[in-house]
Amino acid sequence: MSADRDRILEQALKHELRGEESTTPHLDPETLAAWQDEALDAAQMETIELHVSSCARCQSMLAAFARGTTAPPISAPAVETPRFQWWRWWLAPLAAGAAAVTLWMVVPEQQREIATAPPSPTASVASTPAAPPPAADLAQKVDAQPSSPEKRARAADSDLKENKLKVEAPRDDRQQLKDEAVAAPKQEVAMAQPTAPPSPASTAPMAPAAAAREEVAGARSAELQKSTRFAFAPLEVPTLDRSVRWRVTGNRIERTDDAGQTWASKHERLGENIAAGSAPSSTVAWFAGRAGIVILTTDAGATFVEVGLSEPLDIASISATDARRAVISTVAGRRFQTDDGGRTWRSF
Amino acid sequence: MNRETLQQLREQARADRWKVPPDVFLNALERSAEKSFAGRTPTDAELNRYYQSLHLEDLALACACAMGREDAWDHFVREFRPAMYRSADAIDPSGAAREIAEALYAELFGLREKAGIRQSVFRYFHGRSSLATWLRSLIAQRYVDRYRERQRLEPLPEESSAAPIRARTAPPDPDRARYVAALRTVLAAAIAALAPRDRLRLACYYAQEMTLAQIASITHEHEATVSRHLARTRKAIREDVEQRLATEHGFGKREIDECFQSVVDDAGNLNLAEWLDTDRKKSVVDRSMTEEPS
Repeated sequence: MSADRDRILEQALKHELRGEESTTPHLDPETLAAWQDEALDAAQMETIELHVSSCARCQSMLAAFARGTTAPPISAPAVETPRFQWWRWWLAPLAAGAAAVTLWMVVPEQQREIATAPPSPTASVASTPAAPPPAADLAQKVDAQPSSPEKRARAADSDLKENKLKVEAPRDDRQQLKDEAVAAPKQEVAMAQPTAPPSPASTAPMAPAAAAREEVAGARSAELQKSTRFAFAPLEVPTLDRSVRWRVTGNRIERTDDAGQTWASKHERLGENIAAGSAPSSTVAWFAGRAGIVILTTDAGATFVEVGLSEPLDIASISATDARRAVISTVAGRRFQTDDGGRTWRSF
Repeated sequence: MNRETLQQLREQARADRWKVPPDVFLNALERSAEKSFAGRTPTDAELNRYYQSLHLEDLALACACAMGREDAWDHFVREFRPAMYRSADAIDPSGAAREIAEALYAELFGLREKAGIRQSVFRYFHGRSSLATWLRSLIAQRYVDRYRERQRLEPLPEESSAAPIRARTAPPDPDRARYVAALRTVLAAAIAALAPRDRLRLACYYAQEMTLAQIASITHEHEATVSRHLARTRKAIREDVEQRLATEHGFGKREIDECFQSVVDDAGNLNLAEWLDTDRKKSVVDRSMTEEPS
């Protein structure tokens, strides 16, 4: 009954917290921005927090703002070079050494063997960087840009009117390409992250139970898309190997084996539902998230196995020690453990 | 403000780069202080601290753009506009927020004039936040207001407005309405008793269905901290609800169980309608129209 009460309470909270608007004046965007930049005094911060905590409209605005914040950061003009901090040079290797010793003592021998296994050839092929766009194209895009700011503003205004007429028409991204070419062609080329097509294994059919769980998570995502639900923030998962990292961006799970210079897409289905990850070695990684989803790869992302919970519980964190053992915590505070690679989970 | 202080602030803002006249910059500073210290007169020391805390370079750029300085606009287009669009696409990948960003760009430029003066939205930027944060905030506000406006205009879906009420297979429990009302009352009281930060996290997670990472970004906490606080708050609410049902309504264990069970007995439309009954509905008045249009 205890777990039932928790579940019922969650449903009730969704209804109780939704739809109410505060009677005090709403936040205007300038104040919201100042609040988020922590530029207000303590009393103002408290007043705003009190209002937002009880106002559905301002919470929606905050949610939209948070999603917009997950976009790549706006380039700050003329950033001052940080001063040299000599102590970081010896602190970093010291911390890394301590972590390595601790891990060597904690991680079992079997897992160390997995960690030293060579990456699959698929991964190395997938992470091959794409060729940058030819400079001539970029130059052409720059030339196509209206010459003065006023022309650009008017073009944006007329584009908007045209877009309103074609409500369902797909967006033309050429204008954005032009803008980005004007903004910083070299930077854009350097920042372009090549993404490989998904490996065939990652799109293989799943077991019925896994498919049902995915359906629950997918339905939830679709429902959220209709509301002011916003994309998941990029999540990075480090490994013991400093050059290997995982990240979840949009619907994709990506892996780098060159310290983030290139990222290869490894999974393109469940990324939006992933909230946490743990990579005990460079080839083993666990990801978990909404509706009880847990996926595991033991071959550096060439294949993923769905090993989720039977109940659609939202998972907040996962901590894995190897390819067999992992512990997850749900948002409600429940904890589950597996010792057989996710085939069974027991509550503790 | 004396001339030396103004000159010092202009230098910090690199206002000469965009040829922003002293009186225009002074006016922007004074409007900013007026908004921040609304309702009281600050001391000179407070004012100085306040001016020093502003994003002065961004403020000077906004002044220059509002005046239509072409080099300032080139800088804005190069440094801020692409990111504005990326932010809009992150808010709504379907392109709805991009439309808003494009309209905003035109308004920032100030295509409309009033009494021969360009009406640029930049005049509502006060430098308290960075220009980038302000732009994101503007797009978020307009996107949400447009979404809510559209929601109000759309008719209810047929299944919720005209669906026949399902026939019950068993006679209704006469106590059920009492249990639902009791649970709702104590739950509302438990939520109201929370600290604002706890209530904000809870609302972001359950009502806005934000991710832990997004909540962490707005509360300036670590994701794990948010998760821990959410679990703690939910546990506290449950204990509070159970205690209030026992003390305020005199319910025993069986009746408390009934209260919880009564909420799920009629899952679906009927249950939802009960939770959102008419006396709880509030008129949705868009007060943003009466605020400054930024």
